Amino acid sequence: MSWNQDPEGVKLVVNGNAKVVMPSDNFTETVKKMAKDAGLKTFRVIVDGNEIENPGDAPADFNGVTVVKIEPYDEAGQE
Amino acid sequence: MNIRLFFSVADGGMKLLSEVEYGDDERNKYHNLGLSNIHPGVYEIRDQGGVYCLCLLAKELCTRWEGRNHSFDGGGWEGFIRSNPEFARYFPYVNKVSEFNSPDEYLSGLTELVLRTAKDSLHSVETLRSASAQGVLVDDVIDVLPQLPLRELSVGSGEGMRMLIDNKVYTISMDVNREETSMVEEAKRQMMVSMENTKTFLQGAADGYRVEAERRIADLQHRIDNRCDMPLVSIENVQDGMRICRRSNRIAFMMPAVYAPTKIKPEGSVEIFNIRDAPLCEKKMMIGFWTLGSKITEISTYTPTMKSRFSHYHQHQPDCWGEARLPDSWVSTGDFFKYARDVEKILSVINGNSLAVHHPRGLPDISEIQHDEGGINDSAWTV
Repeated sequence: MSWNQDPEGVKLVVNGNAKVVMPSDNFTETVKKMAKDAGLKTFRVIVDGNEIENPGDAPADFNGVTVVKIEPYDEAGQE
Repeated sequence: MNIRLFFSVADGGMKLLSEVEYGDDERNKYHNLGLSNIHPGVYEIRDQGGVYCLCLLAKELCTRWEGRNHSFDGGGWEGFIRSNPEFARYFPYVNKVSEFNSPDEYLSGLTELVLRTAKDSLHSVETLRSASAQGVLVDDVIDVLPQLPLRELSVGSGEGMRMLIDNKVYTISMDVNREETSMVEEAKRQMMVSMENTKTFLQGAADGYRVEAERRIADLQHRIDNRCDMPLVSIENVQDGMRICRRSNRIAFMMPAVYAPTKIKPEGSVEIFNIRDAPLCEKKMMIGFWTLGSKITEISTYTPTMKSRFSHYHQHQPDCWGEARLPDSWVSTGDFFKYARDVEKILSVINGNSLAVHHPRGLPDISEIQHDEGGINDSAWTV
């Protein structure tokens, strides 16, 4: 008898709303899609507490990742 | 023969005013009028003018003199007096009829008796009336009663004061009732005035106390709201660089921080780019969180010595925070370390669309960052 176990999802939080993505999902495409769906133009990406400032430094997928947060920038200035 | 004798008793004197015959029905009328009966056969009459009269109804006496049949059973006048000895003194001549030569003579003697009895009665009555006229209270009138041979006393609201003195009943429907009523009404009025004054005084005092209490409560609440208790700062907080200062009722938590802009939104752009030589812009600063109670009322950046404000691209004295989400309250001193990191993150993005200073002291001119070729490299996360 064998057991089929679903792979554990990765928690992705956009503007405080949590969603679950699969570890094998493309990281950059998934993050940008989620941010776009949330109405964000530019944003921060924090992976397990560490910000990935350059999209080029992003991992290929979510393997080994627990939580990804997508946050809008807080900008100073009058605007 | 029925005879009615009127005597004026004004001014304390008595004078026979009239001697009128009357019928039985008229006698009953006196009874029906409720005239004050001073003693059997003698009634006190008052009128509005204050003239007092005594009316003698002498029918029985006269009928006896004329030898007619009398209305008493048991042996005529002699028998009646014997069976009712208390009346004997009112009819001293009953047994001396033979001493009189005519009815007129008998009536004259009888009149003398009535006058003497009435005078005695009136003396007592006048004593009370005089006391009443002087405005004394009923209780005070009663005080003089022991001086009289009083045997019985009753006071009714309708019939005034009734006294039995030496077997004579005196009814004083005197002005005591009216005066008493007047005095009671006056007392009631004065009592009401006094109560109203007391009520007004108490109300005023209560209002005063209430206003004073409310003022004190407001003052205490103001002091509570603006109290400035020094926070509990741990040695770890101090070791990590937290400094505390106080200005008036506000306390500022000064947190060490690093100004390190790593991104820029160039003027006219909606994209955010990474700054290529970001480490060149790093400078130490202090972030001051001014607090009032548990509220954070102001966030400002200072130089490490805190002698002046920290010069950066959005320093307009005070800092221009725009729409940045800033903390507005705190619970523990440890919160300010996190808040300092949040503010660092906000300042890590230079908003080229809203610059306060193009060339901050000790930092590159903004043109070197946003326009100089190579000042920025690839964009940050953008869709």
